[in-house]
Amino acid sequence: MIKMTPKYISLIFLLPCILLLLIIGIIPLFPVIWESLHFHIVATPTPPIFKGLDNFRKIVIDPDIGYYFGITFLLAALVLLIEIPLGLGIALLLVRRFRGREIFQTLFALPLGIAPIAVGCIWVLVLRPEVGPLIRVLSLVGINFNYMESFWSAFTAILIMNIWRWTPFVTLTLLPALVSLPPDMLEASKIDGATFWKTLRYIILPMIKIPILTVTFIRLMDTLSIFDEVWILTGGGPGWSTRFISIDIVRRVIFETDYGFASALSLVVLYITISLCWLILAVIKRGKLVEVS
Amino acid sequence: MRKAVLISILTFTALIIILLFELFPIYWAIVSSLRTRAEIVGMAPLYPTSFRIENYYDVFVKWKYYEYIVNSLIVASGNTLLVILLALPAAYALARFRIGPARHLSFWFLTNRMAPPAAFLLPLYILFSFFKLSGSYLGLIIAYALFNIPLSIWMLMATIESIPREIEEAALLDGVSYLGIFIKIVIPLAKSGIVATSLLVWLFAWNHYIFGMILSGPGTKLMTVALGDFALTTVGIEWEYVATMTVGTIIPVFIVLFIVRKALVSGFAFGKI
Amino acid sequence: MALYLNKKINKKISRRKALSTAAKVAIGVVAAGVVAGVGGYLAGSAAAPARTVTETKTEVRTVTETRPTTVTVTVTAPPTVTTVTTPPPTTTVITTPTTPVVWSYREAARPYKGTTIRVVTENTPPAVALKEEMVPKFEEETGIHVEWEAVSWGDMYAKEITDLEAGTGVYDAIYIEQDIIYTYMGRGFLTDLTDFGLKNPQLVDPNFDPDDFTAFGDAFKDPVTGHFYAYPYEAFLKTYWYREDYYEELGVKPAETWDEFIELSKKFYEWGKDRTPRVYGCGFQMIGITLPYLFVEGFFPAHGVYTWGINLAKMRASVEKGGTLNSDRAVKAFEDFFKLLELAPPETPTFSWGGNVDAMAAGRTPHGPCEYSESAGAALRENPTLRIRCTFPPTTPEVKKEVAARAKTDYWKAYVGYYDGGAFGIPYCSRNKGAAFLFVQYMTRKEGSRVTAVRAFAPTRKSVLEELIPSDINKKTGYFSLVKEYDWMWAPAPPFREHKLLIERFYDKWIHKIVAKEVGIKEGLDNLAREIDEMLEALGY
Repeated sequence: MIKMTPKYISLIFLLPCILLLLIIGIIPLFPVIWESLHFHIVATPTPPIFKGLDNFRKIVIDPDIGYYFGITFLLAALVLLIEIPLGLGIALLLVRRFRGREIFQTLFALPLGIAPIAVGCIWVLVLRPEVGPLIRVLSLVGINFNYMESFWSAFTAILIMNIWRWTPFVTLTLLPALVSLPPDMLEASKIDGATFWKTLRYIILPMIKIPILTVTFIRLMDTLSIFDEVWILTGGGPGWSTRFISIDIVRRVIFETDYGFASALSLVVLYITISLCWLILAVIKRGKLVEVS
Repeated sequence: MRKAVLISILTFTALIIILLFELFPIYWAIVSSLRTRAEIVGMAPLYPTSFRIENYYDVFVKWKYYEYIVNSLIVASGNTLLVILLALPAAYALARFRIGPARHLSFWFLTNRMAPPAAFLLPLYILFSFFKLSGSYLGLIIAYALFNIPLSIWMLMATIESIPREIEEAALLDGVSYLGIFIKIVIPLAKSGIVATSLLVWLFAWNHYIFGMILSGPGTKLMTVALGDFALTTVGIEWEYVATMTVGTIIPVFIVLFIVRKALVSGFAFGKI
Repeated sequence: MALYLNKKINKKISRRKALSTAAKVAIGVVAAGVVAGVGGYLAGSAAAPARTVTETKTEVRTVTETRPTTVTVTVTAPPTVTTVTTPPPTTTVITTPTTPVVWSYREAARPYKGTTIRVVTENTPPAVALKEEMVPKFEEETGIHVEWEAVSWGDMYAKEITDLEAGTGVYDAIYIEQDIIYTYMGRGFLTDLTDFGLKNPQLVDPNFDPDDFTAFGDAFKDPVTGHFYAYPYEAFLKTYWYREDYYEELGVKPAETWDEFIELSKKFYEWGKDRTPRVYGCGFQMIGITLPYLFVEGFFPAHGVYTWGINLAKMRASVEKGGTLNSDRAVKAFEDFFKLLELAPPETPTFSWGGNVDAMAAGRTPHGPCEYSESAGAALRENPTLRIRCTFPPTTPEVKKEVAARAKTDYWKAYVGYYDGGAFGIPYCSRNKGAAFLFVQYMTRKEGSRVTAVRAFAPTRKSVLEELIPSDINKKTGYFSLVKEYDWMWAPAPPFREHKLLIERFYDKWIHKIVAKEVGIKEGLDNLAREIDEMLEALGY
């Protein structure tokens, strides 16, 4: 029998995972790299033409692509700015045990179980002028809100939808961390006469640094890959104004069947993902996060 | 004393408002799913005005949409099984053994989970066309592993790390093989973590849309994909059925969430990176 | 905020590390690229098999099948038809059986009895009509079992394209929309039905007259050989529909030119202000991808910008290179559009394909210049008391002249609107072509066409139109008369194989920008034409 050293065992245990992810995650990238170097539109009989790095050049100089990346990052930034403090705030409200806290948490977690595409459908039912109650409610106040009338209205709708869906996630992830804070520290600061905000800033936040960073990271990457909800709610519209980068890739693959360019885009997106992950990990590891203002 | 009461009242009010905000759209979807189209389009009021359960019958029985639920069940459960089987040993290895490239492995797993699925759409499509896996259950089950395995590995790693090493070390000294330790000691002790992870994996698999959009075929269409197609009809959107199907997509999940509400409340350890 | 700043600081500190990692990644990519060259090509060619373009034979243009000398056929669907035909001698190689044979579906299907064929189509009213009335009859007569899948367009397209590209032979008959036929034909996805009939005369229905198809049938023929690659089962004109009762109240006649139409719309807008429900001036489809189609299918041809503004011979769009996309006519199309948009109800931007017809049915708009007759039919079915009528789309005087001047079959030279519809075709990879061939004929023969015409307003055969002229619904709407006499004025989508690519990437983007007033009309059109030309050039035209 082969020597069952720990190293060997660990290899055997890890092998299936590595193999599977290799086959579905790395191997297919080879044909994609090949495609990204070509001009290849599948719907036409034109055979693929080798173009070298032309697709990548186009991605860099095309202002529209820059726009799509831009609004994706903008959405992520706004989502983070709103969701994290909001989720944290709600979590703070929930720290104290009170009657009905469990019920609240269960009900509050309901949106988390809803498929993103179903979230899109629900919000269509709420927002669409023909069928939604929102219009009627707002018109009482005199606002005529058609979420598809301009970029900002659609963008706001998407933002609200996203916050609706994910704030419970932030809250329920931060809550255990908050609850597990040693109460004596908080008592001590109270005795020292610190206001709530100071306590928050100097004591609570540094102690829950890791969960906050984790949640921020996950939310950031998830928002950058947003697709399902927007696909249903706006389809990239009005016009092409809410065409986030995932929607752009999917439209190119399915409808335009431009495999060459879509491959290049996919690779660029993957590269950005890897870089972002690496960057954020570096930040977390160095623990250089001093304060959150 | 006064101040404390005031804060409590404010807190309570705030929480109620937030809860209403979170629950209203779900409520609206359910109410709409029980209405006729004329009511929905005709600006029906906010309270339920009809209870047309035939909508559900129409969608799920008459139009045979239960098939899609079955498909989603097959794929979600299959994927959960696959992922747990693969991720459990991997998590154990990463948690317990000092492996050189562990850091890089972890990073690679991380990017698989964090990358936008849209970026993997074309690679997977090409791969699956080549292996003729398009439109098969197996294809989908494998594809979902891309993002579910990293997730499970983290959660399971956290679970395993919370098991005291001494038990395993004692067993080692007793001469139990690593495999034996793994099967007889670690797994039983990590049971609750495994269950929590499985549920989460199942949830993500059930709720997934984008890979299903491309990779599910005629016989394996998923509930989410069916919902998406239906809501995106360009001819004339049948609102009441959209609502019905939306609720149909949500219900299995709510049932599962209800079962595990205790685990939710006690907090999930979402893993350290 | 601080998070962001800290990231930047850390980025500076670890720049060296970042560079080394980037270098490692870059090297890895290059190495992968070398491997990719071989591996990718193999996988790529397996994933999307490039099929050769259809053959360019110079055959005699006979689209008739071989027939025995005399034929007596009794069809089991009412009304019973007995036909005796003595066909002209054919110029094909297949020998003609000289003994009289009684042909029937039942007999012809004998070798296929018990097989199952799978059909996928879009879930439209004509499809529903066929499913309910023709499929059971087919199954009963032939003993072939039909697995009928009627799904949404996106679903159907995905299923079809997956099957066709992988060659898996899942489907035996597929729905082919009029605008995708060229893509499919170009990629060799479809069986040449005419050829198949020639090679399998025992399967050819002698009562199936391919010449009986309306002008729409030409859309499914190979332009060179004249062979059918699909048989149409639904066809509808995109045209000017109006509320006859509103017109009577106001005492007006339908407009003939765009200026008249705009004046009429203004009249209605004023007149409708005090009514409940409030009546606006006009409406059209506008949401998402429906907007570019509104232009290429409606506003452009009616303003004299044909075949999407692209010159078919030169395959270029900009005026400098022979196209018409950024011509004055196209500019006028947009100008007229904007004038009408002012008079449209505020929710118009959310109107989908049949949105304005729904609005017309609800009384919110009095008319629409480019509406799908299919939608009008559906509206009538829901509310049979609705009084709507159709006529030619409003056009510029030049269009009128140009259409009158061209040969009847030279559609794309000048036309007034879009001839929409779909057909059944047989994938090249189907394993039950014989059974499928019988199916396709059965669904699109006269009886089938009658079903779709009556139930779904989608006639495809001239004989069926003849029958329906005296019907009530024709008296009310005038639709069948219009189709019978004038359908040659409409044209199917131009033969672009890259149809979807062009619409999605260029027309969609720029037309939305123009309509949203992000660019000026001329500027937008110039950009659109330029980008299209670049793409067409890159594709090798």
